[in-house]
Amino acid sequence: MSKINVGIVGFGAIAKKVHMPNLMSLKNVKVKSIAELNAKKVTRFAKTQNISGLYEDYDEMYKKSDLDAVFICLPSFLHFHAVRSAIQHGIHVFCEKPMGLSSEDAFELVKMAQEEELVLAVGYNRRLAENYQRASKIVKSLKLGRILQVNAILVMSGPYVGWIPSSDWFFNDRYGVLYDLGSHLVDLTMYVLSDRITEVASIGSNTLQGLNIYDNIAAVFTTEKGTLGTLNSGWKIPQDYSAIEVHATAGSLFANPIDMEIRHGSFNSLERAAHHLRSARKNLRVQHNSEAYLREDKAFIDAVRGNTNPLVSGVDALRVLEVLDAIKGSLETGKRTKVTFHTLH
Amino acid sequence: MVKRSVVGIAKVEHPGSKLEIEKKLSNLLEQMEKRNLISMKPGSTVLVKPNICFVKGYETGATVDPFIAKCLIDWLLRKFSLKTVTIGEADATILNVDIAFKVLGWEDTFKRYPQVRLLNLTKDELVSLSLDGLYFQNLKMPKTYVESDYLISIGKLKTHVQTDITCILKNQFGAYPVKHKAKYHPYLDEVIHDVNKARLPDLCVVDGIIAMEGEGPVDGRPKPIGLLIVGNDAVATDHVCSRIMRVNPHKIKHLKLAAKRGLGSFDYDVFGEKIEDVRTTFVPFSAKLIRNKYIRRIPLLRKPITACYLLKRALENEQD
Repeated sequence: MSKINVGIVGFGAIAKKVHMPNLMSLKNVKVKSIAELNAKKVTRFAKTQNISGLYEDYDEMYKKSDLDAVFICLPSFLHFHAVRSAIQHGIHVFCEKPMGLSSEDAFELVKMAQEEELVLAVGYNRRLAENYQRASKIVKSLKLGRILQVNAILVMSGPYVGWIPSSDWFFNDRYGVLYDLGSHLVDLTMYVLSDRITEVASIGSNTLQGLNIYDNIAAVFTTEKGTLGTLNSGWKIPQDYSAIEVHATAGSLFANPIDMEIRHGSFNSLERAAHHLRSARKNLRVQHNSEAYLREDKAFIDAVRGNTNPLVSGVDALRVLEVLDAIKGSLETGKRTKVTFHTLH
Repeated sequence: MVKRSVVGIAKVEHPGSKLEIEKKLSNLLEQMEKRNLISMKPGSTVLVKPNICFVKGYETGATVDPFIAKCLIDWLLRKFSLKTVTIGEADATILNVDIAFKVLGWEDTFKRYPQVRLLNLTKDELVSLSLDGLYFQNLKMPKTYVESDYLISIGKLKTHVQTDITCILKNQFGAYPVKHKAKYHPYLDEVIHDVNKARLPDLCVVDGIIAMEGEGPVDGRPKPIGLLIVGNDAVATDHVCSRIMRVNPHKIKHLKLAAKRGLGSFDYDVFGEKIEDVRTTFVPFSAKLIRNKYIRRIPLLRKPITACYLLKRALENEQD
C-alpha cells in the first residue's frame, strides 16, 4: 500500500507536539513537507526527521510538494485562506478548529470540498473523550427519555497562563474565548445531544485590562428538539474543567473527561457509593489524553484512503460556526438571536 | 369452540421510528385478524384501557405511548364500522387521570377523532357485579368497562416492585375505579385476579418499545427494546412477556393464580419473532432480595445482605 504524502501548514505547538508525533507513528503516512513563516525554527527538526520540503509560503508547498493531504495548524484567523487554497490544489484537508471565523467562510469551504470530492476534517477532538462518546451513545439510545435541560461548561487558563507565550494571536480577535473554547463547547453540546442549537442569548465579560476582548462568555440556548441549555466558556481559570450535564424525563447524566454518572428515579445512597467506588477504580488507571488526537488523525488518513468518514467533518464545523455567529450577534445586540442555517445539497 | 391462545411478537429495529412502530403493529393486528382472533360487529363499542399509572411520559418507560393507541385505533376504524371507542383509565393514589390525559398528550392525539372519547373511569357510572372472588365478593366496576362490546388492554412491558411484572393482568387493576388503590396492595395478587375475573380483555397489546427495568412501575430505568406484543389471552400474553423479560413466570403469583383459576392459559402459540430471539434480562427491582424466603426469616441480616447485594449489582452494572 502506498504511503499518504502529508504536509503541515503552521508549525506551532499543536503541530509539533500533537499532530507531528501522531503522523510519524502511522506506518502508511509520510510527512513530506512543512510550510512555516518562520522557517528557521523548523530547519533542525526537519533535518532530524528527514523532511525535505520546507516552505515559507503554503501556496508554494501545495504547488510543488505533490501532497495527498495537509494539516492546517495555523492561528484561527488564517484557517480559511489556507484551507481554500489547499482544496483548490486538490488536496484533502485536516483543519484545526475552528474552520474559519464565520459560517459564510465555512459554507464556502464545505461546498468546495464537496464539489472536488475531497475530505475536509476538523479538529474538534474534545468530543472524542471516552465519556462524551458514551454520553452521546446514551442520549441516542433513548435511555434518558426526553432531554429537557443541558448545562455545558469549558474553562481553562487560556493563552499565556497555560498555553505558550507565542500565542499573541489569541488576543487579536475581539471574541477571544468564543473561537478558542466556545467552538469546542458548541460542538460537544450538539454532538452529545444529537441536536442543533437554534437560538441563543449571550453575555460576555472582559477581565483582561487594556484588551477589548471577551474572555468569559455565557449563553442560553434552545435546540431544534426543544431542549433548553446554557453554555459557559472562559479563560483565566487555573485548572482546566469541562463538563456536560443532561437532565431528561427519565434521568440525569453528568459527564466530564474523567468521570460519568447517570441518575435515574431510583438513585439512592448505595448507587452513589457504587459510583464513587467505580470512579476510583477507573481513575487509578493511566489516562491517555493524547489518544483523541491520534484517533482523529488516524480517521482522517483512513478517510483520505477512502475507507471511512472523518470523525468530525467540515459540515459539523459549519454547524458550530453558525451558532458562533449567532452568539456573536447576541453579544453585540444584547438580544436573543436565531441561528441562520446554510442549506447543503 | 374454545379459541386457542395466540401471542404475536414484533421487533421494531429503531424504537424512535414512529413509521416502523405503526407498520409493525398493523402487521401484528392483521395476522391476528387472519386467525379470526379479532372481529367486531358493526356499531360495536370499544373500550381501550391503556396503562397510565403516573404522570410520566412514555419515553420514561412508565406509561403507554399514545401513539401506539392511535395506531391501534386507526387500524380498528379502518377495519370495522365502530360506534365509539373510549379510552379509559381510572384515578390512582398518586394519579389524576384528567391531568394525565392532558399532560401526556392523549388529548392532543385524539382531538380530531369524533368517535374517540377519553374517560376517567373513576367518574363513570358504577355497575355492581356479583363475583365470588378471592378478595371481593361483590365488585363495583365502571359501566363502560363492563358493558363495552369489546375490551382492549394496552399494557406496558415493565418490572414491578410488588408483582414482579406489570403487563396486562396488572394493567386491568388500574381500571378499578377507586382512587386510593394503595390500600389493596397487601392483597394485590388476589385483587388483580378478581378484577380480571370481572372482565378479561378481548385483545391484549403490550407496549415494549421503551420498556422499564429496575424500580418499576414508576421509578425504573427506560429500556428501549422496541417490542410489540399482541395476544388474545391476558394470561398467555403475560406469560410471554415474563419470558421475554427473563422473569420466571412460575414465580409470578398473580399470573400463576390467574392460570390456575382458568382466566387464561400457559399453553399458547407464538407467531412473529421467537421469544428466544428477543428475550433480554430486565434488572429486577433492588428490594427483591428482601422477599427471598431464607433472608426473610433472619430479619437482622436483611439490611446488610441487601446492601451488599445492591452494591455488588451497582458495581457490576454498566450504566450504558
